[in-house]
Amino acid sequence: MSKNIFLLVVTFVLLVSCTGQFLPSSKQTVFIPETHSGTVGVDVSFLDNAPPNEVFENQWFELGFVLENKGAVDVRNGVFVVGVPEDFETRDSVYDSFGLKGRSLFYPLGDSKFYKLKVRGRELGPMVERMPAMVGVDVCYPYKTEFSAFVCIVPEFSGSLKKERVCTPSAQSFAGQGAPVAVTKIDVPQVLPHDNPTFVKPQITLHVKNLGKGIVLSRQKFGDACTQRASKDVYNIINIDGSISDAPLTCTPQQLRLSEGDNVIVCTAEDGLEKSRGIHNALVNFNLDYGYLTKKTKPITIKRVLE
Amino acid sequence: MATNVTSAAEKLKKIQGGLSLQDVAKLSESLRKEKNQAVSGAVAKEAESAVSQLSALKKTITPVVAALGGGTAAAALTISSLNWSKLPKILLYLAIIAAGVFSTLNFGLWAGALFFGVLVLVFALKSEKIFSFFSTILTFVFFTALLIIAPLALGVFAKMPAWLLLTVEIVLFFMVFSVNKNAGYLALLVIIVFVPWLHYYATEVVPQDSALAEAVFAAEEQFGGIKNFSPKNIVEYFSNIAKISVAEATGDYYSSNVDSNAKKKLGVFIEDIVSTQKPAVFVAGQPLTFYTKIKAQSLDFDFGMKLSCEFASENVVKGVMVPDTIDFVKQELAGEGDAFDFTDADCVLSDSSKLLPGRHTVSIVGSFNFATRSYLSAYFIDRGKKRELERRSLWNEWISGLPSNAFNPIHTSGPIKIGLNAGSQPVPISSKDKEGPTVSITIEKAVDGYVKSVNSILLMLPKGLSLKDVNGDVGNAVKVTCFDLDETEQKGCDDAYTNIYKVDTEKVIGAFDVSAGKSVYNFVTFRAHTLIDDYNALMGSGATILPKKIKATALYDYELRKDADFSIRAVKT
Repeated sequence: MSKNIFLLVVTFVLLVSCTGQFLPSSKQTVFIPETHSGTVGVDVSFLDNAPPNEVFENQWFELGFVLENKGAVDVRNGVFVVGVPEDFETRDSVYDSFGLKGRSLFYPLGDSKFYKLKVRGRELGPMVERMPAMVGVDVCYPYKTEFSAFVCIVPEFSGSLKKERVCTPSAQSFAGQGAPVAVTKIDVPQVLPHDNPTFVKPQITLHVKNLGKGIVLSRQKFGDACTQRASKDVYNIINIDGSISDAPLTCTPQQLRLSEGDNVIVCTAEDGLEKSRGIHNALVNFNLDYGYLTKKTKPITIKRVLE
Repeated sequence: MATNVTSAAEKLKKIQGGLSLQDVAKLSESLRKEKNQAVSGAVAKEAESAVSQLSALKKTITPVVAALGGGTAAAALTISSLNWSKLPKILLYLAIIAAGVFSTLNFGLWAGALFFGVLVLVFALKSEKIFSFFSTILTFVFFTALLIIAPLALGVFAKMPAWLLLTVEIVLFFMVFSVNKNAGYLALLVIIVFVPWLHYYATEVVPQDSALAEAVFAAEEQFGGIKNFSPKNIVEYFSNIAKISVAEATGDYYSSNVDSNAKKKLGVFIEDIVSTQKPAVFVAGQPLTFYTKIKAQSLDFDFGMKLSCEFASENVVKGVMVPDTIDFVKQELAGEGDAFDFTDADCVLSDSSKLLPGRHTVSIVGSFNFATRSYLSAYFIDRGKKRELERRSLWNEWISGLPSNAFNPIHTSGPIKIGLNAGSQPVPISSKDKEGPTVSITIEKAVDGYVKSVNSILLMLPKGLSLKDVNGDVGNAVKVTCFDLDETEQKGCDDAYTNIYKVDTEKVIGAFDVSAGKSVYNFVTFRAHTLIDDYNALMGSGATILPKKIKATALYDYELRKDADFSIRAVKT
């Protein structure tokens, strides 16, 4: 009997401690937004019913859209272009530049801005009841992926089997880092010999992928993508730089041409790390610099006005 | 993408009673994919709701499919034990499967399950009499459906002329009788009752705006031409199919789709001719009067029609039409839904003594001018940009952002259809190019009737593109402005966005057979070569390629004809 009571009490304590529901807490929790997560940078969405799905010919209507920076990085000097086909006319400017703050304590959901244009459906030709058309917003902006992770560096192999390891080198997978381009995986860190026998050169291999729904652009030429201009080296270009425990990493390639398949970058700490550090968790930081293109379209049908 | 999910959800709602398992699987897969890519809450909700509905439906399919499979297996086993020759056995088996599938698709999965459940029971009893009774009923249902649905489908979708459908019907009847005579007689009885009902009542009973009404109407038109059955028409029909096939293969035939956004069926129609007495047997010398209704539908322009009538005899005898011209005013026709306007017209021959006793044909002919328009969305992209996108494996993604059917031309309803083509799309151009895309235009007769003359053809190119020549001859077209067009054509015309050209129809359409009174299955294609005179105007701005419209309008004189038979008997002395 006493054993049963004891078991009940233990179970009760475990439940309470795990859920904490029955213990009043005087602590007030502070919501700290997780900024470096997700795979969205700047998102664009049309307002409800602006534009509407159907408009009458010669009718003015509002085309409103919101730009939201849902990523971790601030955007400066981004550009947007509103695509208004010849089925419509507008007297407002169809392009502009913009800046939006990324997610932070002050902008938990990221900064957003609202834009609107007045647009009119043109008169339909004779015997035409409905004309399907489409409006769109193209947003081109510079962006960055800031990635950090701990990797286990084992400077020397011998002797480590007997000692208790601080960490074990292993491959790691990652989800989005608050930007559309993400480091999806880091292979098992390698250690290369250094000219200086007291140093080693850690080597990190990372895998990069475009997890967003848009197109990666060159950081220098991102604006060209929002025009019909033909430029070389506009698409799928990422600049990489990184460090490990504050030692700079030299990456190959330094400018990655993103492909559909596996995109691999090998980064080496050419200056080396002291062996005397022993087995340790080293902090690696990578910055992926690029531009990004997000597009959003909406079909609108222009209807005939019946007399 | 949002449109795809919404239309997929709508499609799901329209699936009533019957289910195609293939459709369920495809729809479910596409909705699941869309759900994963949904970016707005409303779209995601709709996709979720659609997927959960499909999942619920899928759960009911499994036991029913098991019942269908069991019934089919039982039927196969029992049929194989019958002492029949192979062909009737196979036909009966197919009839059973078709009847089961037909009832499932039209009355729901439970109806199909019930059907096969009864079948399993019957076969389990292994009673020859019951089996024979059921086989008669099933064969009757199957072949009756085939005899009714097959010609409707062939007439509406394959646009097969009525006289060819009659041949198909005759062959089907022989098939029915070879399998089961009783079922054949029953099917014949149903056909005899159904066809007159279809002719007299179906157009009034079925909802005017429904797909069924369209099918019935089209079937009516098709069956009306049944008297065109002749070996000569058979040869012409198949030779025209061959011509179109060759032209398509050599790239000389371009089609278009009827404007599916135009909910109204528009045009001018002459109803059946009715005589003042039934049966249509007159005494020689008696005045003859026939009447009909002229129906004009959904016309947004003033429209005049000249009427005439004639009686075919050894010589053609002209009658008098009352009225001989009809004017339809556009304001009376506009409105939501189908806008009809009817006018009665009489054909009178005051002295029928000019016609000998015997069978004759009265023809009422309506001549009017009409216009058909076609438009094509042309997408222009810088050639260098296209190469860059292809090099970076982004081209397919770029194209997928365009609307589905973006490159398909659309033409308005009417007696003529116009096909447009601007070469491979999107059209790659560069700032250094001088030559633009070649625009091909195909004009083809669409419905019964005759093109008397093509009065003008207008070609409208977007600003930035100008016309160099038509069929290699610069003199085949002249540039005009919106001001030069008539009032109807000026609607929606804007010289700031369009370069308008009038094509010389005599030079270009010479091959188009416009002889009245002859069944015309002809088409003509001509090619307009263009020049790029403003690259920036064609390019536009932004990353998304925005379409430019290429339009063509054909104005022509058309003639409709309606015939009816009657008899004249001699005066009894």
